[in-house]
Amino acid sequence: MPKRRYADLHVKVTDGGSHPELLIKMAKHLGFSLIAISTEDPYKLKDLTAAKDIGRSLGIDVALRLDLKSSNPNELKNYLRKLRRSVEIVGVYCSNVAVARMAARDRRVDITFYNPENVLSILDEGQVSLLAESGHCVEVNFTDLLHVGLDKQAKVLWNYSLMFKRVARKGMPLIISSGASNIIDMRTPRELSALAFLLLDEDKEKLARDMVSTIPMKLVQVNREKLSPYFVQPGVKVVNEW
Amino acid sequence: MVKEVRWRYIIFHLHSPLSLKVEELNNVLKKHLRSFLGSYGLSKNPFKLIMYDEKSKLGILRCPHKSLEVISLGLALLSSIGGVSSAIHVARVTGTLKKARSITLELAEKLKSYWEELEVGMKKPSQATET
Repeated sequence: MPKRRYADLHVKVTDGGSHPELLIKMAKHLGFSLIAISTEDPYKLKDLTAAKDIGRSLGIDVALRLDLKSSNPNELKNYLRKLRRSVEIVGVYCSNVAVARMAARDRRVDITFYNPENVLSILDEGQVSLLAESGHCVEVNFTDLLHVGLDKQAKVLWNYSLMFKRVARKGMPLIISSGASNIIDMRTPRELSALAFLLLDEDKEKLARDMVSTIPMKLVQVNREKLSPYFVQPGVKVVNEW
Repeated sequence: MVKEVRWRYIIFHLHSPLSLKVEELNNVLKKHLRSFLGSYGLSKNPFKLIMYDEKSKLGILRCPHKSLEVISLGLALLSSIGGVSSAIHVARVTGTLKKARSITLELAEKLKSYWEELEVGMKKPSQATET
């Protein structure tokens, strides 16, 4: 049986956070085979391409991710039009219902993530149905549970457990990521899957592991195929040119 | 005869600029896991710090196999010790203490240089240049 490979699709590069090289080294140390380095600033994407070379030299696969945090659906569409083909993953932070609905309908979006405090009001049955049709992944960030008081931590865990039930009922893909911008906030795959395991019903250990391994791995693989010049449409690619 | 409890041994690594002694770490873990699980939760998910090496910052924690995920999550949720940013990472899990001890020795040797570099990155720029 092949060894399971793990992925963390949300490692943020911010001004106050750790250097990308340090983040990649830490991910390698923690046992990840793939990480996605993300930024909220489209102008910083060029700087991040060097991270891929660092990853290659350390023996870890690095993907680029853009996080779009807009409260206006039209602005979001503009960004998607301009930047979709320059990154492997596009994540949308759904701060309100209008943005969440637009992100759920748009096929250029890969991942949607939410504020843990109001996730239940935005990720309602309508949103879940739209997401299920489009096949987008819903992401849970581990950092939402860090650096908060016990009361808030309990509230976040409760909200996420209800969200997991809604999403799992429709068979939608869920991803657990660290969401860290600092190496001290990064966690091992086992710790991330422990969160998933406790939020899911019992006897779902394999699914909990898949949320930090096969599901994110497959997402990156499919997107890389789409970005390839030989891609025509899902299942069709150019194999030989005249 | 079937064992009443099947123990698991969690090999963890403390990522912190602090140098904690065994008793101090034991107190930190007890306090943190009690606040996370509560008294009832702790009675269902008991744990014991078996060993901790202050030099390599590697340790072994024992818990029942059914409590493995809860204890792992509890450890992962620790984000600071005495106001200093810190983390506990679960490196491996074994079924015997003998195996856990041998893996701890291997890890301490294998990842020594790695941790030194990463721990410098954890410190604030002012702390990192002090040495």
